[in-house]
Amino acid sequence: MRSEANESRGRAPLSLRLATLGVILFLHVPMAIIFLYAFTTDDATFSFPPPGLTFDWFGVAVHRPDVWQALLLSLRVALIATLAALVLGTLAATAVYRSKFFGREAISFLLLLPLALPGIVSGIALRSAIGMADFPFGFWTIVIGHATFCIVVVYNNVLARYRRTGRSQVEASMDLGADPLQTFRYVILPAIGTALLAGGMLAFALSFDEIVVTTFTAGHEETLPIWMFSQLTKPRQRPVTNVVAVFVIVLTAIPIFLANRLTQGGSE
Amino acid sequence: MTGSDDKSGRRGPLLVLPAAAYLMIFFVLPLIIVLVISFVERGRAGGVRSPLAPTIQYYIRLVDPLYVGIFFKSARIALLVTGVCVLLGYPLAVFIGRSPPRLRSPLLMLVMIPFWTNFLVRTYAMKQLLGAEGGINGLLLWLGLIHSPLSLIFNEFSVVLGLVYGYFPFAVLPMYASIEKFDLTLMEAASDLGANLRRAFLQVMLPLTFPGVLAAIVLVFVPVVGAFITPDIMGGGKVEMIGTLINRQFGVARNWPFGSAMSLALMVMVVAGVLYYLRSSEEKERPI
Repeated sequence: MRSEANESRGRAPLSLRLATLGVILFLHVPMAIIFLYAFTTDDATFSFPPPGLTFDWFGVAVHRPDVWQALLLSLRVALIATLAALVLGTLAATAVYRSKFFGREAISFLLLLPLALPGIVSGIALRSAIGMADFPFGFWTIVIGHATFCIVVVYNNVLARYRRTGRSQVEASMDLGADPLQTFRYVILPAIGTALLAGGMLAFALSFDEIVVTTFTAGHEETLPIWMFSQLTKPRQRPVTNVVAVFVIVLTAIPIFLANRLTQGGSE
Repeated sequence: MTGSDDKSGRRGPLLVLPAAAYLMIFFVLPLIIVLVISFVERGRAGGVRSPLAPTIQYYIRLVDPLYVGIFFKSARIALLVTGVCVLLGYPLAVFIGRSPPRLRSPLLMLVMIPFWTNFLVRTYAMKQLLGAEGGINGLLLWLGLIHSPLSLIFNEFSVVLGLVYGYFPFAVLPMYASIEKFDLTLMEAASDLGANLRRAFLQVMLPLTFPGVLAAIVLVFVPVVGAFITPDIMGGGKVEMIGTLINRQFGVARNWPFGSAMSLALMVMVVAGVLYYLRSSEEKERPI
């Protein structure tokens, strides 16, 4: 139905198609260059065209312990921050959806604030607070910072889902004698499952990506973005940075591709 | 419509406590500490002097033309970047929104992949494109069009380009969400009723898709006005923005109180902007 209506409108004007092509190229040409120079044989300067192509840098990258440390730290931080956000965000969304209480609007605003303020503000704030508390900077301080802005992502996704599904199923379950735990396990959880997945994925990606707040909370630890940032000033083995970048791009593209395939099967 | 009172209603609000407590401790409290720090004298090696000595000197210093200038420059760069992102993103969102479903999801994926790709990877990519021996210079040298590399990087232009590249997907996706919901037959109705394309766009399509445009503006402006990673990488220390300035106060300059005062000024600026946005978007969504 929809596609018929769309096709009847004919093709987009030439100017619109050219603009689209231009923007898509703008988005992807720099990434293509990253790919190209992951294979160059020149390890210090990137001249065009590359003097030769090689797979060697992939081997070098695999054997660099600093790459692995940064990657594992980023994954661990993102995992813990996402788990914290899933629990705190879901609880908050449930409260806000199910009951009216004084300050409900303020709570929504409070949850949104870490995402609505520039990262540098929350970054220096956390740095000052942690410094004053004399708590050692490292893994846990990174996680604490990341969780502040991950909560709202889960909260928004779950709240939107609650509003779409309504509460009649929950009421039916309670009327039929299920206790709150059973209702949660068999009615609520299946209903919000995909919202949790979507919110969790977004939270994970936000954490994996974060560099601004992390700069101020990491101490001497290096997450992957911080590792990359430090590599920009070091000319040694430059293609290794590109290899890691390629790895990150591919790692990112696969779940999007899969999610896309999965949702295409469903309605809309 | 949302959440009616019922038996569970009385205990329900308690569920919000963990998240609220978490944010009070790890977000609001640190901001209060920053507020306090901005009003006391600095310590020699960073931090603040003990015992605390109250002062408003850092706020007075803030209105120095040098710093006011950097605030204006950051706002100008952020507005420019936001404008470019919206102007480039809107047509792209329209194109994706009106393409047949079969083409739509691959196109969306082409936008989503850069969106989800690590921000630093993207900034690094832009740096390689513009650098002295980078993509554009390399290509032009190779083609023989130029004989020495153009200085494309480490200036305001490269910072703007890097920021546009970094935040562009944040502009496209909310606008796409609005445009996808927009019924294109309304444009036909407008033209049947005698409006030309320009008028139909300005009076029908733009107002109805404006919430998406506003969301795009906020999502780009807020991080860009406080950016410091991109100006650092793409500006090579030559382009000063609020973010780089604040970062320096907590790094080499060791002037936490001044950095705190600047952060609060930035925060007030951004919160004022976001509240303005929320108010105007609420008005838009009101029926009639």
